[in-house]
Amino acid sequence: MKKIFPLCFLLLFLSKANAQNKTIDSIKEKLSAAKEDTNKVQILITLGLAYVWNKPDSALMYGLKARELSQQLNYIDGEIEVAPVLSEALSSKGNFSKALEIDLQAMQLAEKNGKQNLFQEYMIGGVYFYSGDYTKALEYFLKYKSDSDEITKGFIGETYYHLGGLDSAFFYISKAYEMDKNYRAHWTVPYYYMALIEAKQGKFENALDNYRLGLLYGKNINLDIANGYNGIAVVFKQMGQVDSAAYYAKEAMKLAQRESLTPNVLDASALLTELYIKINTDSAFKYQRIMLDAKDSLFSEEKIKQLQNLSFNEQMRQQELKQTIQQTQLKYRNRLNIYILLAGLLILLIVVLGLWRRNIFKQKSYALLHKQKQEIDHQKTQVEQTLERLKSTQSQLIQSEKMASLGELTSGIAHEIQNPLNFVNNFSEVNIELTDELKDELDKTQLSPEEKVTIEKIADDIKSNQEKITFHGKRADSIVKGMLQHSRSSNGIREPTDINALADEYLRLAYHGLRAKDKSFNSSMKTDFDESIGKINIVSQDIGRVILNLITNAFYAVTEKKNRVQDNFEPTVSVSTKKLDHKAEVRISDNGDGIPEKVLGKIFQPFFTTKPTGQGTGLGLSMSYDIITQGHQGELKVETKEGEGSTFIIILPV
Amino acid sequence: MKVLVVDDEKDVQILFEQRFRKEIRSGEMDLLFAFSGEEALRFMKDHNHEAVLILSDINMPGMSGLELLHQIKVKYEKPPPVVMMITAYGDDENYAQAMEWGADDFLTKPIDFNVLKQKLKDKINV
Repeated sequence: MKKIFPLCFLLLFLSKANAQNKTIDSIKEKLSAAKEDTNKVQILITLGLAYVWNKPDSALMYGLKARELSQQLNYIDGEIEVAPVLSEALSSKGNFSKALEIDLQAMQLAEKNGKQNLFQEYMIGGVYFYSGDYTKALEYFLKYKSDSDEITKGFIGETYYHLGGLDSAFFYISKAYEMDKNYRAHWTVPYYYMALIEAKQGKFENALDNYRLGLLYGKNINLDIANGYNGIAVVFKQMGQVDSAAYYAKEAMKLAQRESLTPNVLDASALLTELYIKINTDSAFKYQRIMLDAKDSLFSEEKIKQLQNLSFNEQMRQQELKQTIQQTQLKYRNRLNIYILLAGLLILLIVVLGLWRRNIFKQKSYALLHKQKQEIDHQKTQVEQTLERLKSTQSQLIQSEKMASLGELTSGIAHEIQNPLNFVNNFSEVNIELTDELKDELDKTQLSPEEKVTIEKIADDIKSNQEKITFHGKRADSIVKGMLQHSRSSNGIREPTDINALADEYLRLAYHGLRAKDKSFNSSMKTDFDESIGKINIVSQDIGRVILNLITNAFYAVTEKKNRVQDNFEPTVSVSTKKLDHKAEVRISDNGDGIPEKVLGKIFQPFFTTKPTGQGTGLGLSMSYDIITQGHQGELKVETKEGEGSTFIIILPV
Repeated sequence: MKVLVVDDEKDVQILFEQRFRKEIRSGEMDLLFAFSGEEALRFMKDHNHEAVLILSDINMPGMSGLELLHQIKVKYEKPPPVVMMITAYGDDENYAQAMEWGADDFLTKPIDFNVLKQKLKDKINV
């Protein structure tokens, strides 16, 4: 079996060990002064490291002390740190099983206390390396391989070497080799393995050079010296220089025996046995016995080591299994978490969606409310307007009711008045006739002329009075007739009528009627008819009467003004029609004096007139108003400006 | 010509007698008076339909002029006398009803006697 080079914790303590090697005495002084504390543990560890590859027994002694003290102090770090010292010392002695045990214990302790560090992988790799499972060891070393780490490259290189991968071993060892040359604190691994590789390649001189270099760097470390001598011996043997080989082998064996480096003793004795078997049988036998002793002491170790390997493998397997389970659990937990998260998200989404929808709904509701509010406002306005209209209609209704009752009353009065009026008029007329007859009869009498004259004069006065009574009776009659005409409910039938033709006809009728009464009357007339009106449904007789009335009034107004102003006045009456939206409009305008504002409100009242007594009944406009508004559901309006004229507007629904 | 004047106002008699004084004096006309519809009907019955022309008011207490017209025109044997309605209520309704029941004319008060005289002359001549 090949000597296994110390590896795991070399990195950690190499420089420390080298530096403090020279000062072992000073450290020992510190140790004697130290109290029983963690500091003393550190000092003991340092001392152990200083001896670990030179005097494994001493290292073991200090290491065990450090472990004991750490356990007493419950100083976990110390207990973990001392493990490499112990295991290295033990493996140097060839007690691999114990070394493994200590490493495993340290690992478990570190794991239990959460002290796993970066070197965990090295430790596991190292254990595999010791146990001879190079494949596994390589796996762990490769996990932590790093381009800048010389030690890692050394470990990987040597593992490849033991696996028989020379090219790979050379690749890594040469890298570690180059790095070590630039490194202040050297170690022997790159040189010895380079030598081993070179020896395999037959480059014996190069191999020897590297062994010598290694010996130089490892001159303070007995294990390195023993390994170096042994290596040189092997090379010399391969070169056929038996004496030199025997010399170095003996040196190696002596050192190994002295420092109880049992594996080295075995290697060296085995080599010597081979060297002497053909030359010196006695010597060969002697070395063979040493070899067998060493083998024996290692034999049981070997067995235990195998068992240990098994248990370690099992442990690792279980650990891996545990990790797998943990990973599975972790995965499961992660997945569970993801599911929970997703579910949460989903719920959140639903909630958000719900809120969003509610918001939309709210917005819609608000919009609807707003719309409804607007509608309500609109309706309110409409209602208010309707109320206003209703109020005005109501007042109009009251007015028209008053008018209607007044109409009925006047109708009744008018009819009844006609009876007494019948007597008044007829008796007064008979009286006039009788007076004349009286005068005729007077001539037949024998009265004196003076008496006759006196009686005649009285008869004339009576006749004159009777004529006045007749005149005023007839006046009353015409008033009554007007009232009756006014109150008479129209039984005219509505028929399509050309309003333009009607207006034109009554304009002429009014004009000629007035001309017949008064030769001096004159006025210009203007017409503007909208032919698009067509025929509208009206009682033409009634509307004609209204138009006639309005035109007569207009002519009266302009004549009045003409009489007053005389010059520079052109009396004008215009009649125009116009088609509106579902309505027809007739305008009768004059350029007379207009209507004073104080009487404007009364013009449609019955019996209101501005004409001198006896010239108007005051029923014309009132009657017209009734015909238009009640008879035809139209409107009769007036626009006037004092001194400029008036316009009466008839609006009829079409 | 016998003319029966029917009116509830007694002054009608004086008015008619004065208005037709010349015709009465000359014997052209013989005026008879009744002051209600009932009286007029009774008179007609008693005097064996002497009157050839009846002038009747419409608005009268009791039997109205229109009822009288109806009685005379519908119930009496032919030929019925001429019936002229004279009323202060010259409204369409009265007019239409009078015409429907066979009134020969329809005059409104105040009476224009010149017109009435002319109409009477026309009726007699016919």
